[in-house]
Amino acid sequence: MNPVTRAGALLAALTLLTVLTGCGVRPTGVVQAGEAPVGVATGPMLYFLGEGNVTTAAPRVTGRLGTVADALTLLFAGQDPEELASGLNTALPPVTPVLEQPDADVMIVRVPLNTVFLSRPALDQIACTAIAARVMAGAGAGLRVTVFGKNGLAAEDVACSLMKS
Amino acid sequence: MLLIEDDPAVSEGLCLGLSRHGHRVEPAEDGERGLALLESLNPDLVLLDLMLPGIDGFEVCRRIRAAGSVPVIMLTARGDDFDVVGGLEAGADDYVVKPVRPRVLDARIRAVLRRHQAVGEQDQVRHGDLLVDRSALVVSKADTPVGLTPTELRLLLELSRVPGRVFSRQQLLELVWEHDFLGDSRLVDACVQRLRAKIEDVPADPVYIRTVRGFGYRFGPV
Amino acid sequence: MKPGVKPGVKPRAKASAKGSLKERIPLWAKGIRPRLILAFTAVSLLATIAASGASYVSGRRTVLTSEQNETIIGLRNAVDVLAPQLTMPPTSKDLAQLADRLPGFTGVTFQGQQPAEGNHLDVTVVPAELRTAVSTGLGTKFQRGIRYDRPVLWIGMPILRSTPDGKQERSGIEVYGEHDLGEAVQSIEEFSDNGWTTGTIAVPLAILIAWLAAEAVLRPVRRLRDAARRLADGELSTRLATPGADELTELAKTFNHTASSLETSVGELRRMQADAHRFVADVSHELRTPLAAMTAVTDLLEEETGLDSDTGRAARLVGSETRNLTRLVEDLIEISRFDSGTARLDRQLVDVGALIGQTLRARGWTDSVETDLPGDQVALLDRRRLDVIVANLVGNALRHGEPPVRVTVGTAGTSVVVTVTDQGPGLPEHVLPHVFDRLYKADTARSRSEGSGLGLAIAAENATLHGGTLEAANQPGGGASFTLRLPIDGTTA
Repeated sequence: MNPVTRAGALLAALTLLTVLTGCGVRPTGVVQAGEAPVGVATGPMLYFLGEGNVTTAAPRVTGRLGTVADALTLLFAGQDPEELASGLNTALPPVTPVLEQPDADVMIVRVPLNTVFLSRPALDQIACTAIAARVMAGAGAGLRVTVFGKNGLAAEDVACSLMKS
Repeated sequence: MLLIEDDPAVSEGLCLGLSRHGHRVEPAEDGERGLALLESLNPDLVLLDLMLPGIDGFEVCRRIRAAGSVPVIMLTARGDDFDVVGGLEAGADDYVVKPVRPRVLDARIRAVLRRHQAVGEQDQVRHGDLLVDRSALVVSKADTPVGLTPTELRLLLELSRVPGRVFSRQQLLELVWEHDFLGDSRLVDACVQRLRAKIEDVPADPVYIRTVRGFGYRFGPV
Repeated sequence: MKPGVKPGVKPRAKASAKGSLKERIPLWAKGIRPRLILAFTAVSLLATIAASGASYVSGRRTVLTSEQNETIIGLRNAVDVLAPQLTMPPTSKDLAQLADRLPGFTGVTFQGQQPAEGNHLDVTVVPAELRTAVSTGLGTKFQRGIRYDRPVLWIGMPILRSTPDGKQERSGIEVYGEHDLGEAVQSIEEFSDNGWTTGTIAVPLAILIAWLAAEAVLRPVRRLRDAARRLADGELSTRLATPGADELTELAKTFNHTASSLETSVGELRRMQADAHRFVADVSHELRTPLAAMTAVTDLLEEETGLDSDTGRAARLVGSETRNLTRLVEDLIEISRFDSGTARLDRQLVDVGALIGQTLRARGWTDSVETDLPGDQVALLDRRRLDVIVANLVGNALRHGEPPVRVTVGTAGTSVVVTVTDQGPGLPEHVLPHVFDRLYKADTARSRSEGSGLGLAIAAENATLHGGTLEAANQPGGGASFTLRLPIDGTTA
């Protein structure tokens, strides 16, 4: 190493050091930091049966979105007067289900009735309501809904006829 | 005089040349014969070649010195420093380098022989223990006579003539040895050493013959 | 046998014209040791700076990023969890409640309005830039800035609402958070502090190591230098120990090899030279004995034979040629003494003028030589050798030059200067360099000069033995000039 390059290298290193120690944490402009949180709503979306037993969405105003379980509880509780007035039916029996969510992507619904009482439209109502509540809370549509009757499994990975899974 | 020289041609030439200058020369071809002749002949002077077969010249010189105070002039074929110093240490009075012209050799011989002649001034001078009798040419120390060679005696006489006066080696060479201005000062040094050995109590710390560093010698004053 | 190059004189760097930086480096910094130490220090400094710089940069990124990410994700997750429980449209109380339940110092607005009550983040301190971005976009955003001299992280996010089929839109609620980065900065500064601490330990350590390394490198170099110096001074038996197998050992082996070849060839040369010298000396000595016999009788012959007879002329011829031969042999012996290194000086205090006067008188030259001899010029010299020098110079001038031959004595500095000049034609240019060569004949036509042909060579050898010089030159006005300089105090320097 000859003296010229040596002196140059030393100078460069010293400059670097000065720059580093002098500034510490620099201010920045606006920086993107991922997605925004999702999940506020005036209420969950419940699904009843409209004309010709077609599954129909009915927004329920509760003031807040609530959880998937909240939405399912409201669904099993049946239509409010306004929904009744607009001719919406439900295929669900008036029972209180036991709801389990062992992880965020799985919803287990236990209905205290024989599985014969859980018709195709009823299962569609459960699936649509659960998945809608989850989507509105900002998560993806990939919720696996499993329904048990009193005598065993009624349906696994129930899909909502209104949504593409 | 006695000539001890092994080369017959040189010996004969020197005998011839010296006899022309009025010297009677007896040749001897080696040291043993020379020493034998020394007793019977009792010569005034010995001319001694240093390169001899048998006993070499230095040894012959030492034996001559031990036997008496006859002057010795050494003939050196080489003139090398080793020869000169060795010869002077062995007690030679003077030296000449061969080849030498008889005329030059004759002058040296006469100078050596003159040293015997009396200087004839004050008869007796005493310097401490040392008594120098200039008429009898006898030096005695603490009333004991000291045996000196003619050269040693002449050196002592010249030095003690004016005690305290400094003589350069060159001056002494010209006064005592009668050399020209190119004499070898080692002759003086060697003779002073021998003289000191004979008259000083402690030769290494002389009282009579003192060295004047870088110049020469002076006598006393005692 | 001394080589021309003085030991210890290093050749100067020739590239001094270029490289102005090189010139500015002081002399002390040019040795191997200071250079090694400088290099080690520079390298260790660089390494320290680079290491602490790198750890500082990566540390800053790590600390800041993790701090920011934790804060942002924490806030977002909390909003995510709490959003479904939020009443829509929210009252000012709902907003305040939400802000209370969110982690950190936060503020919530709905359609640009924030609740008046409660100890929440005043959203107006959040940079307008960030607020605009949040209220027009669909994502979470942050911005760093300074508040009250402390680094601060501001986070802003709108809360979205979604239709059951996943269409998202702004709900009008925005959440802002302010997070102090002071602690993070502090931990970042610890990195650079650590770097400096490391440096203050590492640099002296590097200097120490450099010193030791320089020692290790320089010790064999010094040994090599000393050995080379000894070799240059003529100690041809100098050898180096060659342990190890590094480059310096290779160099030492090469050195040893060179030294031994040199020793062999120089030894060979010296032996041959000594043989030649010994032969000349032996021959001269052998000639002496017959010459001694002849010299002893030539005077006799010359005196015995008649002056005008043929035999008389023959005898005189034999006599003079015997003397010439004797002089030649004596000169040869003198020269061989110089060659064998046995010539000795017998220094005494000499009156130079008086001695030269005696030299001239002894040879009968007083009438043919002009002199300028001061009576008080004393020097420590060998009388016989000065006589030989002067006799040879004057004899040469008388034989080859034209009268008047002139001898002067003077002083120059610490030298006594003797000059011998003549008024002849001077020395031809091609002769000048060879004037002191042995048996050199200036005049090739004359096969034999009256001198031995060794006189000037002997004069020069005698001058050298005194530590003096003898120079030949031509005078401006014509005629040769010989200048002898001998140190007055006998120092052979």
